[in-house]
Amino acid sequence: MKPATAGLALAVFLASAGAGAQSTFRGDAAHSGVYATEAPRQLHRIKWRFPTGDRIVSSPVYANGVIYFGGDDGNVYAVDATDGRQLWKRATGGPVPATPAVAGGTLYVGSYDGKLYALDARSGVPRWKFATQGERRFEARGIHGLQPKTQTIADPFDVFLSSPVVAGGAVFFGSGDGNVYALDAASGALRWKFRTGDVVHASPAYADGVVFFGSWDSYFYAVDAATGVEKWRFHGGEDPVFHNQVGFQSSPAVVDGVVYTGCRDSNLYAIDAATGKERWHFGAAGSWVVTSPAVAQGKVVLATSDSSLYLVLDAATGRELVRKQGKAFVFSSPAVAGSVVLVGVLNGTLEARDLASGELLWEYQTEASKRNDGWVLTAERRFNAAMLFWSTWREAPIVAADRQFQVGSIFASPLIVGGVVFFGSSDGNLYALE
Amino acid sequence: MRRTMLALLFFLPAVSGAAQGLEGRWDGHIRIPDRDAPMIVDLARDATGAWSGSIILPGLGVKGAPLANIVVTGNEVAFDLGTVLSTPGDGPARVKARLDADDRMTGELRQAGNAAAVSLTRVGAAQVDAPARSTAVAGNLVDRWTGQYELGGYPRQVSLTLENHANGAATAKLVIVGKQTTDVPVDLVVEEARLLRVQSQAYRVVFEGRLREDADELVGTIEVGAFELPLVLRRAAGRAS
Repeated sequence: MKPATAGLALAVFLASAGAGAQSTFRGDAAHSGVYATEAPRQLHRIKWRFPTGDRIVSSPVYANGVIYFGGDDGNVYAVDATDGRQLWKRATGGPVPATPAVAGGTLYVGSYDGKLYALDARSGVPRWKFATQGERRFEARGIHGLQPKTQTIADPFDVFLSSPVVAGGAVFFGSGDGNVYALDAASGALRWKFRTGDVVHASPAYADGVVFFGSWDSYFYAVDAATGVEKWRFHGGEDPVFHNQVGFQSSPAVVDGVVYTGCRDSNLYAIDAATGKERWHFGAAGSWVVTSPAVAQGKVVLATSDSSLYLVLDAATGRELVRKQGKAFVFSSPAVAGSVVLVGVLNGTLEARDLASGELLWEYQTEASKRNDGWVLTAERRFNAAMLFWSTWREAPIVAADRQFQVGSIFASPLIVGGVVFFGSSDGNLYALE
Repeated sequence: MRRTMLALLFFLPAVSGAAQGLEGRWDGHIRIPDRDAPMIVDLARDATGAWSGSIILPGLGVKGAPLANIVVTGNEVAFDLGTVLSTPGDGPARVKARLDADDRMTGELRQAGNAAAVSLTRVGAAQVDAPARSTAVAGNLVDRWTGQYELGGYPRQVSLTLENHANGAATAKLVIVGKQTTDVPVDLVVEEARLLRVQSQAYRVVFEGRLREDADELVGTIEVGAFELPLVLRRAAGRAS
């Protein structure tokens, strides 16, 4: 598509679109990761770039011609989708690595200050805010083999906050305090809260009156959306020594009565939404599955962290259909738009792949990735572990993880609207590509 | 031939002088983008003219790592950093430098496909760290040994194959199979006072154990990062030796 044509397509789309399917994390309440537009099969240009004050982990959402996202600089942003002009920003009391949800003219988003904010989507003016018992990152003694092993250390790879989902007049979201909350969307009043055993930073999915979410306590839960009563729970793997192969950081997708979720125990699970029984699982050979799977056309699309695999599985059986070896860890959740899959990579590259074959159609490398300060990357854009994780002692691994993410890492799940691709980067920019 | 001899007559003193001029402790920096990394190199030559060296990289946890493949040509030196800063697929990091003045060298470090300028100043005599060297192991240890330990709720199968060589040093092949198969690169195999130590610096894995002859078992511990676990190795069914 030529740039002029793409611009026209976006203008037409923006004129006709209302608050809809792009206004929440992964495109819809069930988190299918599917967008009703065709993403570009060729990259033509950067349409605009919007700089912020710190890294962007939050994924952008779209409603009524506006792109909304959170920044680790503590702000929630509203940006004109056509030209990248700032419409408003609203400061919170902490970083906002959560994806907002927009419904009924209100934006809902959580912050590391431990509060869920409801803001007027037009102006950013607060309508209400709800205080949880406080945010915290997943932490454990000796996590990932870090020293001293008897001291609790926060996980530097717990980068996301739970993104709210809005359904049936309620807002559902998880918290570092271990609870999943259901609030009245209009007033912010607590309807119920459900206690899990550890941090909930995965985003709940909603389908057919049930809220689905995983916790870092190794369990995945299905809870009645109206009452907060548990319907079933599913047990993932445990790792009581390293605390490395445990926890649901991935957010679920619920499609055709099946829940698909990644897990840090290095599996992708397909679970019957009604009963909680496992239908199948796909083993990623020790590599975390942090990405939230996209489910489209009978296929499950995911990527892995350490093994850096891009995978397409048969949704019914879990049979592997496509396997492509990537270059670096993937935390970004793949987004499907027509025949194209978009996914961010932590080496600062956005990849566009053909859904059917998995072949790379195009890629965009951020300037920070090209600069490669401190040789975070090898010349092949793989992580240069020898220069990063040479020590497990004290704060060294935490500092190394932060340095690792300074190459424009893309944590965000891309958003596709009217053929334009939007995503944030750890270089602090929100990009619009066409 | 005469021309070659003449060339050698002129060239040899220059080479010899320059080579001597490369000895010493060299202190300087690697100009990595947005990060000047300090580097200290010790280069020395023994009575036979053979070169040895070690490197210190403050801030990267490297103290006295042995240099490998040291090649001195005229007033130029090239060496590998061994396992230090090596990456799978890219091999060892390598330095090439040239003596610019009596006490100054400039050159380049290549690591993982990246290249950066290096500048070094001589600050004194060489203090080469003697590298730990593998020893031979007792003949009854030369075999393939297998065992199992559990970490994080998952069993890990261990296979250790020990072999002695004509140079008086043993080598070991260490494979750990958990959720994936890991071929652990072993740097050092030492048997001292009947204590066997098999070490992988890169993977932070160490096995230490003694042969319990009555049970024909290698009884010891395996360190994996910060964790130390008991491990008993038994002879595999088919002897390797």
